[in-house]
Order: sequence, then structure tokens, then C-alpha cells
Amino acid sequence: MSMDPRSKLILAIDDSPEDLALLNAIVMGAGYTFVGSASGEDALSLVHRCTPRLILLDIQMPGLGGVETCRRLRENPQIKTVPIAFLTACKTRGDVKEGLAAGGNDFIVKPIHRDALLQRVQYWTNHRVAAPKAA
Amino acid sequence: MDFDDSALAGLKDALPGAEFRDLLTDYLESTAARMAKVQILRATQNWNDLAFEAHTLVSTGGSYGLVRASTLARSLQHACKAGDAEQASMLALELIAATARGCEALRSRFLGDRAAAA
Repeated sequence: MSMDPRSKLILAIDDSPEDLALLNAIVMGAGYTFVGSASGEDALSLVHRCTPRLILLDIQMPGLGGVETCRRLRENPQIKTVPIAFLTACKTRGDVKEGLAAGGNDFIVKPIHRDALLQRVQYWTNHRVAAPKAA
Repeated sequence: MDFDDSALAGLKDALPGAEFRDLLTDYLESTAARMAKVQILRATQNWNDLAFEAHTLVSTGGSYGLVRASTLARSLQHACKAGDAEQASMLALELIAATARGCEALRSRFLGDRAAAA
């Protein structure tokens, strides 16, 4: 049985204010709780104060890029089982390889399509991912 | 096609009217600022920064239904990365024009007289 979506916090990390605003509108419109972060650096600090149910992470950002942000998020024990879905306007084989190696779980191709996004959000907010095995 | 309203139609039904209008108004304002930036980057032949701006516009344009602008932004990004100044310069102008048409169509479809009167 799925929980009330309001109890599910979605964190989106994207340097584009327009995309963050649209993600906010789509996710909140579907009843979830949303928090947006404009940079990887800010997000790394934010997750010490709240644990999201799902992280949507833009790949190409100035400063700390999405892949490196993902790698650092996975170092936080509270984030080890939180699904991370990359958002990308240009999914290449290299992006996928790097993204998965950094601990990402999914790729959502931009432009953002509401129905497709909500399908992925619904799926991932009902799943936890396995914590990586210790080396 | 400059504008595809299906990208936003579902969202319109899911949001309170004022929130939906605010979302679009903010988008139109930020897009105007981005187009001014594209013009400057083109004039100064700053292809690296223009490639980054184009990358953003691929996503934002497409997400808000400006399909032609999104396609042109992708071509512009490739031209900038390839160092093709002539092509990039031409595409930047086309992008600005297509964005203006797309924004006008969006305004007309979803904001109606409210925006026209503003």
C-alpha cells in the first residue's frame, strides 16, 4: 500500500530556476512535498537537515556537476538507500556509465514531461535502493 | 511548430489558477532575460558560454512547450561546441525569433488578456 504522497519529500537539484519551478509545480501538483536546490554544494548541506524520499539531480551544472554531487551524496549514510534519478538534456552512454558508477539509479531525459516524470516519481518513492556493499 | 500546448495542459488542471499563471509569468520573464544574454554572447562571440546557455534552453524550452526553440537550442549548442561561428551566429538569431514566437503563443494560449493588458 503506498503512503500519502504529502509524507514523501522530493529533492530536486538543478541550476535552472525555470526547470526547478516546473519540477516544483508538477511534484507539488501531484501532492508530494518538494524542496529545490540550485547547486550540488547547497544540496550536500541540505541533506544533513532532511532526508528526501527521492532525489532528482541535473547532470550538467556549473560548479559541482551532477555526477560528482551524486558520488558525494552517497557518502552520507542517510542517503545510501535513497533513489537518485539523473535529469539530463543529453543522455550519452558515457553519462549513463559514469552516473551509475557514482551511485545513480535512473535517468530522466529532459525536456520534462509531466506524466512521464510523475510515473518515475511514483515508482521510486515506493522503492528503496540497496546500500552499496562495503569494499 | 513553435509551441505545443500539451506540455502544460495537464499541469494547468493540476494547479490552482494563480500558481499556474505565476509559473508561466516567471518563465516568460526569465526567458526574456536569457534571450538578451544570448544576444550578448553572440555579439561577443563567446561560444563556450553560449553553448552552456543553449544547453539550458534545450530543456527549459521543451519543458514549457517551445518545441522549435528547444530544437534550435540543441543545434546551437552543437555548433558552438564545434566552433562553427557562422552557423552558431545564424542559429542564435533563429533561436531568438522562434523563442519570441513561442512565448507569444504560450501567452496567448494560457494567459490570454491578462498578460496582454499587463
